[in-house]
Amino acid sequence: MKEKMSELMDGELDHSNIDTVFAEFKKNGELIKDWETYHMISDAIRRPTSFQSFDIADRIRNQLSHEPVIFVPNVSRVAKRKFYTLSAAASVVILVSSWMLLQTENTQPVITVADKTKEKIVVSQSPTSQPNPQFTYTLPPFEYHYFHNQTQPLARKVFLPSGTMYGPLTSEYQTPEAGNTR
Amino acid sequence: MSDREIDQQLVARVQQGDKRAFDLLVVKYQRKLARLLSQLIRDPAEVEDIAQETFIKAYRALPSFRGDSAFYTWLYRIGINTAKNFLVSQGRKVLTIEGNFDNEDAENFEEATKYKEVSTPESELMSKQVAQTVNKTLDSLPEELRTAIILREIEGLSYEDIASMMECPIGTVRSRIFRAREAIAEKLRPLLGTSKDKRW
Repeated sequence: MKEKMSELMDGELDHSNIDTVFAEFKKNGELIKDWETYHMISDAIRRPTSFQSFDIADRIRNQLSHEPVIFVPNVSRVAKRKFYTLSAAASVVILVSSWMLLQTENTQPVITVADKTKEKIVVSQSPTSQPNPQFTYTLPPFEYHYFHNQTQPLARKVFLPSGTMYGPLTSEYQTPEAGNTR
Repeated sequence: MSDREIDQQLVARVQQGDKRAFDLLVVKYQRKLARLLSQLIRDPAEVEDIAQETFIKAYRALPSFRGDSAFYTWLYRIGINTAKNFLVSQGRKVLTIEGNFDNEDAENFEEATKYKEVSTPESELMSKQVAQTVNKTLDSLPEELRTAIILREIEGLSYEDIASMMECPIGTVRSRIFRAREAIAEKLRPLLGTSKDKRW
């Protein structure tokens, strides 16, 4: 353990061993004395002519025993940075999506609405209202709510440009016929 | 892992409720802090008091320490401010530190200043004895141990560089440095009253 402590002192201890050494420091008071001695040796080697013996560690230890234990919530800087990065990325995605949506609405003459089955329908518009003869629509995703036997759709809402809305339909909650939705 | 990273590890542990980790920081920096304070305060007893106050202030302020600067740089500032406040409260003139007083690079502070001794006759005797014992033991070490520890402590080389210079595996360097330290520590323990029979 002392050899590991010596490595820790030099900043050469493998990360995987750090917890072991600190755990040993916690339960072995002798190891702290060795840590102290090693640091003293280091000081004396570096300053052979001006080494000063100075030890207030015991005094501070005594005073610290009356101090409350510190506990700071462990939110690492890495975690914070990751959070901010993800937030920024999400914001960018939302902005880009909104912009693309706006662009699509402003420029596309064809309104495409996603259908569960990706089927497209063609609705003829009154020739008097628009010179453009046709619009292509794709139905929005359906939401199915099933009965207990989970075989029949409970409700289904379909919005068409005509303003017609389907579902919930009857007490039997039948799905609209294919002809209505197309 | 650099020195700063070690300190950061220790600080993180104190912030998680491990007081013992702060003890390690105190042991590591007490002499360095005392040398700094002795630039401002001449009385050894006062230097001890201010050093103690500095560490306690640092402990209390640790929850707000975010690691933007090195721990010692942060401690250095607390120490200087505590010493200045003490001198002002005593109505005494604040001495200026030779060299860069407000230098951000507190790590190099000692090299930039002329050392002023802070010692009582007893501590001076003790210091001399410790220094003599260390030097004497160092000289008596086998050459490979002596070279390894000198390259580490004086030249500040990494284990990898030492291994390269000494043409030996890195594991051998680890072992040599440890054995050198342990050999010197063994000679020091009776002097410090920390022999295996009589520990502090």
